[in-house]
Order: sequence, then C-alpha cells, then structure tokens
Amino acid sequence: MLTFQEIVLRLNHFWARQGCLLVTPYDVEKGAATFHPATCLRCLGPEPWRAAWIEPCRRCKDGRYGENPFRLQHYYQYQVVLKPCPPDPQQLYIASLQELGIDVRRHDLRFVHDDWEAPTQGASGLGWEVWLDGMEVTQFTYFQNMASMPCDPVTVEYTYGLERIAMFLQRTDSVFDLVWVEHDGERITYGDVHHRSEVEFSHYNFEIADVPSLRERFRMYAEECNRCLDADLPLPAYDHVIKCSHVFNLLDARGAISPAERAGLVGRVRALARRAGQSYLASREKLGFPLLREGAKASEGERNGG
Amino acid sequence: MADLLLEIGVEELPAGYVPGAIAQLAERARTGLAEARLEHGAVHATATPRRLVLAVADLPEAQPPLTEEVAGPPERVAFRDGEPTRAAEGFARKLGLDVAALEVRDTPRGRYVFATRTIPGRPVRELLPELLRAWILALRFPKSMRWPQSPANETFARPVRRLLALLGAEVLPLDVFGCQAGRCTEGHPILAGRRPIALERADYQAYRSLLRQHLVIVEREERRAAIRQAIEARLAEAGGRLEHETLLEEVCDLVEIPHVCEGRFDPRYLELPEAVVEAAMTDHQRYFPVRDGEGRLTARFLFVANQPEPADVVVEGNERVLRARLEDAAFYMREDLKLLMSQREDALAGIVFHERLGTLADKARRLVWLAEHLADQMGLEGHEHEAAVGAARLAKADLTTELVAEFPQLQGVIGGEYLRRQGFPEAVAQAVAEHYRPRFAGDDLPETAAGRCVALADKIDNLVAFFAAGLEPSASADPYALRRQGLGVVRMLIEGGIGIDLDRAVAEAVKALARHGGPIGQSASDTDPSTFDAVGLHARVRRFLEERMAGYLRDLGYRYDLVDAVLGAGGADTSFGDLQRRLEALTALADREGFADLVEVVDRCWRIVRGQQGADDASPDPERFEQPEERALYEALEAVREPFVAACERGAWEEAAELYRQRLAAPVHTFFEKVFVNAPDPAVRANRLALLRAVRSLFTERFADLSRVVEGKK
Repeated sequence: MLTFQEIVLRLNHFWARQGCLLVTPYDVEKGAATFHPATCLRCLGPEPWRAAWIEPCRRCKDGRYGENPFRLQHYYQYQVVLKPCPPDPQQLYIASLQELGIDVRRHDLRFVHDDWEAPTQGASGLGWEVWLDGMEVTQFTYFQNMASMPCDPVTVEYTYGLERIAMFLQRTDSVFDLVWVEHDGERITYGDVHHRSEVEFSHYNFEIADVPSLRERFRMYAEECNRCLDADLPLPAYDHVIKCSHVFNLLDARGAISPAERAGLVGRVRALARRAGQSYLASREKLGFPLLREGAKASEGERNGG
Repeated sequence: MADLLLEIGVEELPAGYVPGAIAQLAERARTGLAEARLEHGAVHATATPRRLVLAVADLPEAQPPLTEEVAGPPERVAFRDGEPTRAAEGFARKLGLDVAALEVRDTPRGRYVFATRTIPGRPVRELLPELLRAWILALRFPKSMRWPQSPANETFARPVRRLLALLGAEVLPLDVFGCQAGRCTEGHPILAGRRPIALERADYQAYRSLLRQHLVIVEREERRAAIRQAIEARLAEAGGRLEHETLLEEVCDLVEIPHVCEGRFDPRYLELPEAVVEAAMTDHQRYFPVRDGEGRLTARFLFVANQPEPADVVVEGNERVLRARLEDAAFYMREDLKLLMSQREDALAGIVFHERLGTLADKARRLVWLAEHLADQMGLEGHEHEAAVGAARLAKADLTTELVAEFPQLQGVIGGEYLRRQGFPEAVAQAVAEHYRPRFAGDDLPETAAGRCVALADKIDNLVAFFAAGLEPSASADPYALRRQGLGVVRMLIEGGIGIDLDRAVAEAVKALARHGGPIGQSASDTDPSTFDAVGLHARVRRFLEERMAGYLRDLGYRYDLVDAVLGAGGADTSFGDLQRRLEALTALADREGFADLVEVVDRCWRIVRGQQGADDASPDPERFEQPEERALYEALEAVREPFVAACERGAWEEAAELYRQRLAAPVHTFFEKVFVNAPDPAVRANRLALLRAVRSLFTERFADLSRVVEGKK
C-alpha cells in the first residue's frame, strides 16, 4: 500500500522524468493550484513551461468541523502544467496512474465531460473529470483562456485530487484514516496531521472571521494590487489578486455575500487578474521571452549534436 | 464503384455532443455528395466517445460530366455578314470552344449567341479529400477548442489525434487538425493498448468486426440496445422498469464496450428522501436506481462499465463512491432537521432573492399574499385554503438548507420531505413539494389544489417581479426562465381547468410587489411611483402570457391565425379558461361552409373603420340615420345581440356564430351596397362608422377577432 507521502513522491519522480520543474507550493492562501503563478501566469504567452508540484488549497466553505469523512476546508492538489500541450496528453496521464501502481486494465477509467471555468481568474478550459471506478480523481483541462486572454499555445493542466487518489489506493472510507506515513509499524494518519485544523478552521471560517475587517482587507488588497500595477510590478500585483480571492472565499463562508454583491466582487477580482496578466505578459515580452530563447537554443543544440 | 470509410479518432467527446455529431456528419455527407453530383449508396454515420465514423457505399470513379449552356453576345455583335466577329471569337475562346460550335437562338430579348460546353467530371479520389475536409470542419458543437497540434482555425469539440480515410483500398490524402489520414484505427484505449490496427479496405462491416475484436462496439445502436436489454432485465428481476431514458442515451456515449454491473449500498441510506438517493445516483454518478414491484427504491443500483468483464474491484469502487455521496447527504439532512422549517425566517431574510427585488423573506411574503388571493379566486375552502396559505409561507424555507445547496434541482421536494418529517400537515408538505411544477416541458402539473395555487402564485410573482425590475427575457436570453414559467401558468389554467381572472391576479401581484418587493417596492410606494409603472407592468405581463398562450395553442396544432383571432378577442372576460373551447369551436367552423361569409361580415366592417377616428365603444345614434339600410342593420344588430350573448355565455359557440352570420350578413352587405360611409357631413360619417364598429365588436368582444383570420377568406 502506498502511503500519502509516497503517492506524492512517485508523482514527483514521474513528472520529473518528463522534464517538469518541481516547483514548491506558493506561500499565499489560495483556493486551487491554478492560482499558483506557476500555473496562472506561466500559461500566458509563447514561452514553453513544464512544472509539477503539490499544492495546499483552501475552500473555506467546504469545512465540516472534521465531522464529514469526505469534505475538507484544506486539502491538497497535485498539479501538473505542460505548455505547449504534448501530442498525447491522455497517454501520459495514464502512465502517471500506472506509476502509482494502478492497474488501469483492472479498473474502469473514464474521461467524463467537464468544462472548467474560474470566473475570478477570467479563466476557462475544456476537458474532463477523470473517473476511476466512478470516483473523480483528476481534473484534466485544456486551457483556452486565462486572465481573460486566449492561451496560445494551449497549456494542459492535470489536477490530481490527492486525498481521493489516496482513498482509492488505500481503500478507506474516511479521509482522516489515510495513512500519511508508516515507519516501524507506527502510523501517522491524515487525521493526526489535519483533523484538529479542520475543526478550528471550520469554526474560524464560519463563525469567527471578522466580516468588516475582511471587507476592509479586500479593499486594501485590491488597492495594493493596483498600486503595484501602476509601478509595473506584475508579480507583487498578482499576489494581491490571490489574496483578494481568498478574502472573498472567507466572506462567502461567513455568508456575508449576497448574490448581487457576488457578481460585483468576482468582477473586481477578474479585472485585477486581467490587468496583472497583461502586465506580466508585457514584462516577459520586454525581457524577450527568455524561456522561448532557451528552448530554441536547446533544440538547436540537439540538432547540432545529432 | 468503391466504398468510403472515414474515422475521426478523437479524445473523449462530451456524451451530450455525440448524437448531434452523428446526425450532422450524415447530413453534411448527403448534402455534400448531392452538390458534387455524386451518385451513392447508403450513407451511414455512427460514433463512440472516441471516434466519429462515416461510411458511404458505392461511390463512382468520377463525377459525371457537367453540360452547361452559356449565353454570349447578341447575334448582331457576334456576326457581321455571316462572319464571326472578334466578340464571337473571344467568347468561344474563353470557353475553350471553336467558333463553329456557337449557335444562335431566339430569345425574348432578341437573337443571341449560345455555346454548350461540357466540363469533365473530376475523379472521386481527387475530389473526396477536400469534401471530407469541408464536412469535418463544418461540424458544430456547443463548445469547440484549440490545441497546439492543430492549426488555429481548425477547432473541434476535443483534440483529434487520428484519421482514417479509405476509398476502396486506397488511403485518401486528407489532412486536417494537423493529422494525416491513414488506414489505421485503434481499439479500446486501455484494454487494446492504443496500437494502430490497419484496415485493408473501406469495408464498414469488416471495420466493425475488427473493432469488435479489439473491444469496441462502434455501432451506437448496438451499444444502446445491449445496455437497454441488460438494464431492463435486471430492473425487471426486481419488479421495476426503466425510467431514465435520457440517462441511457448518455451512458451509451460514455462507453465503447458496455457491461452492466450491479452494486449495493447500506439500506439505512433509504431513510434519506427518495429523490435525494435517486439524484445522487443519476445526476452525480450516472447510475440507474432499482425499484421493487411497489415502486420503492431498493438498496441496489446499476451502472455501465467500459469493460467487457469488469473485476470485482470496479463494483467495490463504485459502491464506495455512492456511499460517500449518500453519507454526505445523510450528514446534511441530520444538520438541516435540527432547525424547524418554520424557524428559518431569519435565514430567508439573509438571502437576497434579487438585488432589486428584496430577500427570500420578501419573496415568501409576496407568495403568501398572492396565494391567499388565488385561493379565494379558485374557491378553495377550509383545509385546502389553509394548506395553500401555509404552504406559501413555508415554500421557500428549504432554500436555506444544506441539502438543497447540495441538490439544487430538488428544491421544493426536499422542503416537502422535511415538513413531513417535522410533522407539518401532509397537504402543506405536498403543496410545497410540488410548487415548482411544471419544471420542464411535459412535466406534470401539481396534483393538489393547494399545490396548484402556490405554483401559480410563485410563477405569477416571478413574472411580475422580474418584469418590474426590467429583467424581461430578450429574444436570445431568458436567464430567469420566465418563458418556461409563463408557459407553466398557461398550462395550469388550461390543462388544470383553473378558471381564475388572470388580470385580477396580476393586479394583486403588483400590489404585493409594492408592499414586499424590496428596493423596487420601496421605490414605488414611498419615493417615486413612476419607477414602478403598475399599469404598464400589468399590460406587459398580460401580453407576455398571451404570447405563451399563443405558442402553446399553436404547438397543439391549432391554426396560427385562428389562435390570433381568439386571443385578439377583448372584453370583460379575461380568464383563459374558456379560450381553448372558443378556439376549438372556431376551428370547427373554419372547416365548414359559410365560414368565409362569417369572416366577411366582420372584415368588411373592419376594412372601413380601421384607421378612422372614433372610439371602439361609441354607440350609433338611431336619430342620425338617413337611409333605411342603416336602420335595418342597426335593428338587426340589436335584435341578435341578446340571443348571441346568451349563446356565448352558455358556451354554445357554434350556435352563436351561426346566429351572427345568418342575421347580419345580408344587412351588412346591403348596407355596403347602398350606403356611402364616408359622407361629407362629419356627424353622419361618424355615426355610420360607429354602427359598423358596433357590428364588429359584438363578435370580437366575446368570441374572436375575425379580422385576424388569414386563410379561407373571400
């Protein structure tokens, strides 16, 4: 049986062999790995990009005080982005499942229509949720737009639900029973690591988080984002886009957002994301798209060598 | 003669796109072949999630030659003294012909030069690649995508990775989406291992059996029949039958080789509302619920795997997923039931219904107001009346529950279940459960009178409120599904035989909105009444409902002009209750002799009075008549008025129409022969117009506006 951390290690090995950069999680709270600049910003523009990593994510509203065996307000995604998308991305994905010891011939693997949209990022893509014996284990998306701009070339994104895959592999019925690590017969479970934080953060997200100060923070982050953009600093600006989005999620968990207000706040974050994305793209262009040049050089070297 | 076989190898198509893609591909091929003047045998299209297939039998070697006639210059320009001029030579050269081949013919415009030329047909193998390319690129999907291997302007529903294009034994040089066509297909993506499998020739049956060997049933009908048979057999064993036809269609397009498996779950989850258990299976997991002979859910389910012989782990895995879903639902229900449905007012006040229309608490107050009014109009009494008003008060409470947040499509149904479990009266629970009906075309109406009352109140309030907020549907967008709700109102009035005065109901809804309408209501009553144009609003809602009514009646097969005529009848009676009976009578009359005469009576009056000044209801003054024909018509009109109205009120529509035609046709026609309506004296003229208006409006007010009849007129 693979432990939770062995699953991550195997995925790291597999994707490292595919030439992916193993980046670290981004140190700002976020709802999904798509917010990591290594996804959201790097998928813009012509430069090639291959990266893989584990990302902790927060969905404030999904907290259940640690009482529900399938729902968490903090969970992990394993994220892979490949730009440009390779010629057979499904086969590559299936190979990664085999790396986890999943005999795909014994299981029922399906690609079920699921088009993805992230309104705060101005992002959309077409793809599937991948089912393994009926369980959704991965979101597989061909990005079409990001920061309200078309993605060219298209990036493919695989977002593995690590807890779900681990539950599938370990055949447990509660996320808290997942074995995170096992050594000399001693086990540390997912519950040992995260149960208490699920309880505390559920209380915080639903009951304690201070609404007026969250609103104030939203305003401040949005303003700071614009200040950074005015100073031509897209990367710090983008940090504040992520912060706005997380504050929005907290306000939502507190039930403080009416449907009408929702559209307005989502629209503001989307506008900031678009500006930050445009500014980032302009800064890469100013630098002469360095990775594109490196890529071109490398393939030239290959040709010369061969 | 040679057969054509095309296979577009694609990553999993969305299941919902597949049937449309099959139909489009066959249609494009048929039209395209006809345009290319190609005779052909059977055209067949089919698909799996991973391939779109087109097979055309018996294509010829080449197009038949095309003979066409081209008109040239006039003879006088083309020939001088019998000799061809430069003009004639140029014309012949342009067509690649000799001058001697030109002919001169008489035409209505004079004598002209003509040439007949024959364009040789192109070889089919040369023609097909461009045709196939055009057909493929013309396929339309709800959403299409770009991917790096395909040129930017060649998009498709999902990436195309492989093409097979054979004409006979020959590979066609087809190049689209960055793929070069070959003679290879692939089997089941996992079980057959993505190896290319070569096909010798374009033989659909050979292709089909080759794929069968590689674990793909390419024929969609065959897959569907196999799934249906297996599912129906399993359901019948338990005593039930197949109820989910659209789910069957969907799962058919989720697999290449189906196998129906059975899973089980813990029977304690059957304590959840049935609709929740069912939705967890069908909507989330595409499973088929199994019911017993009494129609009760059992703790079993069927699913369709994409494998010929699924291992036990597949069943176990699916069982685990369903257990997780049901456990989630059970958790929400336990939490939800801790709070009484009647104690959710604060929560309702905290949820905005629409920014301009207040909160859900406001919505609930309007619903109570309108339900009380409608219950009175519908003549509900005692328990039924109480149930309707009680249900209106509680109808929206479930929108504050976790379970509805999880299963929004079960709003109302979950509310009804919770009310039952919390000991509220059954009549209230049922009315709440069914007050969103009819939810889609063909859905059942609410069964109980209280349910219909609340359902009507909910829909009428939505129409009035969203219209007041300026959120009427546009030609292309109807985000609040107001057309569907309007149609729901129409169906309840007609099919439910609810004889209410709709104008009064709409007026009450406007009142309720002014009192409990949130920002819009406040702006109306306190500050600026003009922002909330109650009269205009009323008229717009009325017109909108009439349009729905017209559409509904046309869909039932009634003639559109007769529908217009019946809806065009104005007057005291504003209920839709007897409308269908009037239309039925008019339709019967329209097939009979004498209908044209009837229409002519009204239409002749209308042709004169339309566009002339004067009020519709101004009565003619008998003192001002100058000719006996005026008086005769007036007297005939007054004599028929009473029996006509009485017949209408009895619902004896055909008798009423007969009376009108028999008594008024002759005097009207004599009037028009003898009387000059547009008399120089304005007072005389106005009086004559008033008489004709009165003749027309007697029929129009109560029965139908016959001046809108288009077919079968004189």
